[in-house]
Amino acid sequence: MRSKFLLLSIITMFSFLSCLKETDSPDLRGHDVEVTFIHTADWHSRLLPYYLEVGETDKALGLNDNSSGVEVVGGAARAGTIIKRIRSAGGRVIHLDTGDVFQGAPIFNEFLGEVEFRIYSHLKVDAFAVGNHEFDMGVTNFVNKANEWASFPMLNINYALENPYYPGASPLGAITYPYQIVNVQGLRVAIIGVGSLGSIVSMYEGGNSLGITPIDTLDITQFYIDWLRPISDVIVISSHLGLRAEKQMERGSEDQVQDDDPDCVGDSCASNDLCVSNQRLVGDEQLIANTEGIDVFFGGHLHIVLSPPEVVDDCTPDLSCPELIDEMEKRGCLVAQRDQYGNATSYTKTGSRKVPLMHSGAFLKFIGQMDTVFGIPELDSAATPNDIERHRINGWELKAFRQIMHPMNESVPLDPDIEWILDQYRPELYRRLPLTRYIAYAPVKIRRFATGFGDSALGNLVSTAIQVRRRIETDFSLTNTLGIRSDIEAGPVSIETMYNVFPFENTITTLTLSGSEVKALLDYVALRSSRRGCQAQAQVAGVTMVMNCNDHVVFPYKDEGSFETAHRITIGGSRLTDPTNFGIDDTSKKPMCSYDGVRCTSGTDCPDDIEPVKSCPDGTSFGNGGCCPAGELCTPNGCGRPINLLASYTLAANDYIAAGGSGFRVLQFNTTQYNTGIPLRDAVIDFMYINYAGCGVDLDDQAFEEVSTFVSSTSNLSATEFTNAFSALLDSLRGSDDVTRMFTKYANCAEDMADLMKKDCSYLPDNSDAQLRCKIQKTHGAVEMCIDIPCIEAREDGRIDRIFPISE
Amino acid sequence: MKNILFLTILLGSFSFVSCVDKHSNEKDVVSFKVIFGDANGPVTPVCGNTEDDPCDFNLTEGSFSVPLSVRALNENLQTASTFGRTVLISVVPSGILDKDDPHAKVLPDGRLVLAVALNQGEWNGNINFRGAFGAVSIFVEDVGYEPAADVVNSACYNIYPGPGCYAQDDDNPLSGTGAVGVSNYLYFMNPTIYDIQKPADEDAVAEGIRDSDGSELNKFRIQVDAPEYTGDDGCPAGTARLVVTQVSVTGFYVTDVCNRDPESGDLSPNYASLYVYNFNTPEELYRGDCLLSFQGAVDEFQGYTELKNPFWTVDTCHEEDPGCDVDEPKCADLVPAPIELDDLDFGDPLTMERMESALVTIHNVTATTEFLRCDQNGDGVIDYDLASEKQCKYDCEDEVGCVVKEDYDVYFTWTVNLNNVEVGVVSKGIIGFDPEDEANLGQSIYKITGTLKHLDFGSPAWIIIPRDPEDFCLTQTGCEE
Repeated sequence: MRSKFLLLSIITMFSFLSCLKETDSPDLRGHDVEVTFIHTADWHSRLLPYYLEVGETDKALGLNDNSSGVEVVGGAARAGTIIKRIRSAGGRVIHLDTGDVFQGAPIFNEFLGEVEFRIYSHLKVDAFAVGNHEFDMGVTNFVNKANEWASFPMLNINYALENPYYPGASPLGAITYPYQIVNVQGLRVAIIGVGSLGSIVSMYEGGNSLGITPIDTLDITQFYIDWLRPISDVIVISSHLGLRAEKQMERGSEDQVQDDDPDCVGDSCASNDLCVSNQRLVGDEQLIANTEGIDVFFGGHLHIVLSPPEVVDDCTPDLSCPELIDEMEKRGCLVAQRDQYGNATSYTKTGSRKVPLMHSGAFLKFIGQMDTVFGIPELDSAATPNDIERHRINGWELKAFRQIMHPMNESVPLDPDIEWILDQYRPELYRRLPLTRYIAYAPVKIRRFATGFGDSALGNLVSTAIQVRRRIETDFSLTNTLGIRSDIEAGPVSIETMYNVFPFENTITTLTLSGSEVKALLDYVALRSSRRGCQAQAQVAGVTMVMNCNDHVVFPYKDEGSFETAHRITIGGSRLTDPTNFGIDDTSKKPMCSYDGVRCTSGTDCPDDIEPVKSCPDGTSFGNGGCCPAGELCTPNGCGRPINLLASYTLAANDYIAAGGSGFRVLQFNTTQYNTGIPLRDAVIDFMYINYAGCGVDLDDQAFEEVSTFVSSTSNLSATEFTNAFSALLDSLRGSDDVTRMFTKYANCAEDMADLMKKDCSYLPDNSDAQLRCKIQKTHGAVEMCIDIPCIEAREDGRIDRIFPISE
Repeated sequence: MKNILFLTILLGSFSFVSCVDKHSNEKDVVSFKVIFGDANGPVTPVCGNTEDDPCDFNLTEGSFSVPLSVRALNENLQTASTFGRTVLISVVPSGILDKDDPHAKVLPDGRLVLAVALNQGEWNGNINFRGAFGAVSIFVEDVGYEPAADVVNSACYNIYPGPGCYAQDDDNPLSGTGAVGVSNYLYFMNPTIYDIQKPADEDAVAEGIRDSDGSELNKFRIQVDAPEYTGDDGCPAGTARLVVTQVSVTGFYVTDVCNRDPESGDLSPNYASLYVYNFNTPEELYRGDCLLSFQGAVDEFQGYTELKNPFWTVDTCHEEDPGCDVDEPKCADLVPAPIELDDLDFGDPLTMERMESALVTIHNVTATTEFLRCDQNGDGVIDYDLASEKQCKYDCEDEVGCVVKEDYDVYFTWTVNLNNVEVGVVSKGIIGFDPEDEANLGQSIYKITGTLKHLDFGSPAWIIIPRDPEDFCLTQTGCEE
């Protein structure tokens, strides 16, 4: 009897064990196997939903626009719903994140990444590639937060890290791993993490040593692919490199490894060559093409969506790199045809993988999903030796894939677990920072990127705020465009908005430069800009310039014409003293008249009683009947004094570029630097208060009386009566014809502000008396607030123009 | 002892039961075997079995048909004969299924699939599709539900697309087994620029019906290859005949100089050109370069067909090549002559659609006569809720020769009058001519050459972008044609 019981026990135990074994590693050979990858990237701490004016590209991807043009998007709780929903469908699911979860919203400024890591841990992220902004508060902060809150693997292969156990060494090496193998129901998926290189270099230039030495990404990636192939079935890259390393475009930028010579142009830049530099320029595309064995690739850093994914052939080396061709030839995936000197002139491919490359955007606008199917192809008679060798090592290959982008709009429900996590921080966040305090109203959207000229509306506002700040007051100011991280959407502007615009805790630094240094500085700006679609890479005040973006485009052949330099630089000038004397239109703030040869304006813009001046004796005329003072140049926004290369000028810049960040090395070694300690964000907020009139400044006595009457006489109305009264007030202020519509800005401010402030009453029972009273109170507050709150407007004015110098 | 044994047996039984439950689906079906064939076995498709023998690219409805056999496999690679659910069949990554197929269903995210029910673990039938290019596979998956017939009114349509969220009564979505199967590749030729540019219904375009001019390949990622020409087919001998006609600061224009009209077989400029939007200035690419291939996602931007997120391969010239000048683009001599357009052409939507992104030229026009400022309240923009500003803008746009100053300051589009037809010109930074200069208002212009762009919201919608100062002549004297 006892032996029967024993036998039965053994049988049941074996059945238990075999079940476990089968679950972990079922034999999948012969089957097609689906793996679903969830891809997130560049959250930039946007854990809370935010308002966004949805652009054409995002609309096409399903982030639909509502009637007002602004939609609430994003938020970690919505992401949680989608991610959990995909996971709950079962199957083989892997969640990859390609970095930069830190920096970009006030929740990071206050909690330094704790919330981000808690949420990622809750979501059970399978692999996280370390991005560049993870280090924004220093390596120690990143490591501490990871040790305390992260229960997911942090990956990187291309940073040589110090031994963390040596005294004083960076602790980063103790928490990062080169790869992670995830066994998803029998399929072994190896994930390799690749970090950004240029950003690390740029941070180092900015004075922040991280204890990181970037290493050759191609070599180290190929090494790990080869290492992992025999012990895994699928190789996946999770990268924060960025899409593509342009040979010239990225020089000095925060995106790529840089050339040391700021004067280097075009083919003369030896170290820009992909294959020469010790730290080869690579983006995602180059990494795939110059290696062999990647199955699927996920990228981040550039905040773009690749839909559909790109498909890049591996084993397709850069032909200018002999050693890469040799390497690929040894691997048998190409045969090179060589000239008499042994140099490869062309090659024939004998096989390559088609590797899908996916980018899923940023700021939680989308969650990316890629469904992949892997299988072991049967070898037929046409199989090449390379195919056979691959098959011998590991037969699993990608057979098909498909991408789905999940738009993160309001239709996605909030995940209660993540809401619970956020609720542990939200009250403290709002206690520490007055994020919901409204500081201004923007009648129209203020964009950070230019639409017409080189300068942008928001860039002009910011740079002017820096320049004219009390105790700064320099000859000119300059700030990097990418340091402004978000547009100001039309509507109420809160402190939170300003944190989104300026997430970095940058301060203002003043410097003194010689005229020739200023020229070098602006030449560098022009050069970088010309390679980036002529989008100005810096924003300025007090200075005007013309960027030549078209030389290399208009002249069809190489080595013709001068390349990408700044022209017609002026600093200071009469426009700064009394612009109206020089033909500035009072309302548009644009010049009214013109002179020959330069795009000041059209003469037809001059008032009827003023003859436009066609030319002055010195050829520098400007404006309504007058000439620019002797020696000054006509510029799009007034008369400017040409730069004197021998003079000295004072500059206000943010401390990041002053320390050489973004490649501004002409500033890095300047010994006159003085960090004022004035936060950039505060300077701009103060500027809004000081420089812009209240939205109600134009209200006349009658309109003001209507506003006052509304506030004093509507407290006791019913909900319907109050709504009607508010509508009547707005109608009367806007008026029915154009003449009385002069109060539109004020009415819009009151309406938008009331809509927002009334949301504070949502904690009260719906349609209760208490909620009604709360809403009435908030609406009254909005109506009163809009009298004084500054109505901020900014526009491009051509201070950075993009004129082809042939007209000069 | 008895208690321990009892506990052991209990635990073992539970684990056994849970094990069976956990694997019941997998035991039913682990994957699908998808082959080209029927109940009698494999059938070799007429083309496309290897990369060297691709089928033609063809957008005609029902242009490609292949017998397909789907078999559910259990973990032992045998037919899971108890499996009888509906599975979804799609073609990836390209290929457009026949929308009139009785099995066709549209999923909430817009994908067209076939929903077929397996019988005793098998299904055999024909699959029809068109517009396939590159390596294509047939993708079979078990999501657990048959898609709702009326997808817009299905239970979870307005929530968001999620796995299993396809059924009409799907308030509590559950997944299928997740089993999938993929066929071997079928190889097709890549499309040409013509295939990308030609709209589905030319008659609708001719009638000026809005949005009828879009590419049928919109949202697909395509690769255009340069075929090799022998020189005896009317095209210059050589490999790459995709010639870059203009490089702009954000992209480039490319023309297939060996483009042929499929009906007549003649060389034709119709639908032969395309704009490739690169966001940044294309690196080391020049007018006159020939491309071996280029790749990108087809996109319709305000009625303008373009490729975005591109990459490309230039046919570079090597020093040892006869006649090679490494400092000059290899196909500089192949840049096509601009196509002359007149006012009648601009009045014909179909002609213009055919010329989209081509290098064109117009003669004897007059420049803008007035730049009218319509921002009357000084906020820097045209307020459409202000009747006077809106009307000012509309009136100006309706008047030949009038350009709204505020729009010009943003888009730099001025106009020329071509026999009372307005044509837009963007020349800022390219030529020295300042259209705002009082002396230039109403100026006679002999010739403007450039690439042709189309924007639905533009006024006018067709815009010529000169490449360099030589593309613009005030007078015939000294003007290069």
